[in-house]
Amino acid sequence: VKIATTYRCLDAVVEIETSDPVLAALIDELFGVMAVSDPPTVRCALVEQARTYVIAVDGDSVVTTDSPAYAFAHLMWEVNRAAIAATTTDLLLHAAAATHDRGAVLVGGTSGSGKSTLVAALVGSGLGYVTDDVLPVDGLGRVVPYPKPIGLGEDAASLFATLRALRPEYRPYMGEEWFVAPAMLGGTYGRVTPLTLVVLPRYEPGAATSVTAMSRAEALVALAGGSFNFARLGNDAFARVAVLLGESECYRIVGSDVDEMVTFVLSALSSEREEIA
Amino acid sequence: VTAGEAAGLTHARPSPRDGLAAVRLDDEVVLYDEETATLHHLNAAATMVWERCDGRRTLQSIAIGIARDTGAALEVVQADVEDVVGRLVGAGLLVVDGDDDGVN
Repeated sequence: VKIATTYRCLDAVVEIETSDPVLAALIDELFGVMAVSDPPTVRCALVEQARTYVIAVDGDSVVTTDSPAYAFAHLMWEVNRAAIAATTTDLLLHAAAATHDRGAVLVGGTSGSGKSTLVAALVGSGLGYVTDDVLPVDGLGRVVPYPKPIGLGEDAASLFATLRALRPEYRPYMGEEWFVAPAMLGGTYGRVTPLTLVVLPRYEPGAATSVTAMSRAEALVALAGGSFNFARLGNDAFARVAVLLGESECYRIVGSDVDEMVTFVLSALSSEREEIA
Repeated sequence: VTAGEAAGLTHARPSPRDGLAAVRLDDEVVLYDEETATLHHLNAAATMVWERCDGRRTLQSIAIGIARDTGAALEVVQADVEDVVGRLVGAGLLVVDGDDDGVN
């Protein structure tokens, strides 16, 4: 049995095919919001044959493994790679984002800085999910949702009580990295919202939470420097980031307690500010 | 000896190099050099200097203007302006016309 569904991932229309109905259900939970009926521009498949998992892209086998979790993580990587490669018009920042009725918060930073963990915690606290790693910015300097699955390290995933109730059949596909949808965190999806807050977290084990204000110019340099396609878009990308930042407040947050970071973000988004450092 | 003095810029009239995009955010400027795909962040002090480098003003007139606007001592500002301009010229962000008076 082969189950295939197509999803619009940025400018790519990705067909994801699997032979496992359980995996098909998981993929539907993760990607369903992006489902389309358009013809695919790229085909990705994860097929099990005698406990061997084969990942194929456009018919070419790219990975063979006996680990379903590794196979699934690689499938997620291939889908995201295809999405980024196909996108020519939107600027793609290396950032996460979530929305609130007072505006959107952009969570920037390098890999391992805690972007996904913080955005997952924000979604679990009621903010709308936009993206966890690749943030599109359109020609008008607006954030465009790319609600790819939220990738959490195993340790980070253990912080979320709702994930303990994840369907047991999904567990073989969750290894060192877990891929989750907002609903699995008790949250929902966000929509296009003006940016009001930029935070650059840095996870430091054992560190007390500290917050430092950052100028918008400093934030522009940090965000542009981490973009996937800034150099290709050139001056246009430069202008977009400046428009995106608008009147946003920008902060660096260092710490080890994601709940304290969430508290700061929520207070910064509210009218009555509450400084924690 | 400041970087500006060392570069013989005291009487120069620096201007932005062609091909740079600039955006001001609050009191700071970010420059983007599309040719090299590099970003340059100028702090508030450097921005005050940058925005006066229009190819018409000498470093001395730039320093006088900043000293007047900020109330800082002229001799201190003069040294800072020469230092900032020297750095920006060194980074290829400002150019000094070879015909300018006083340029070595």
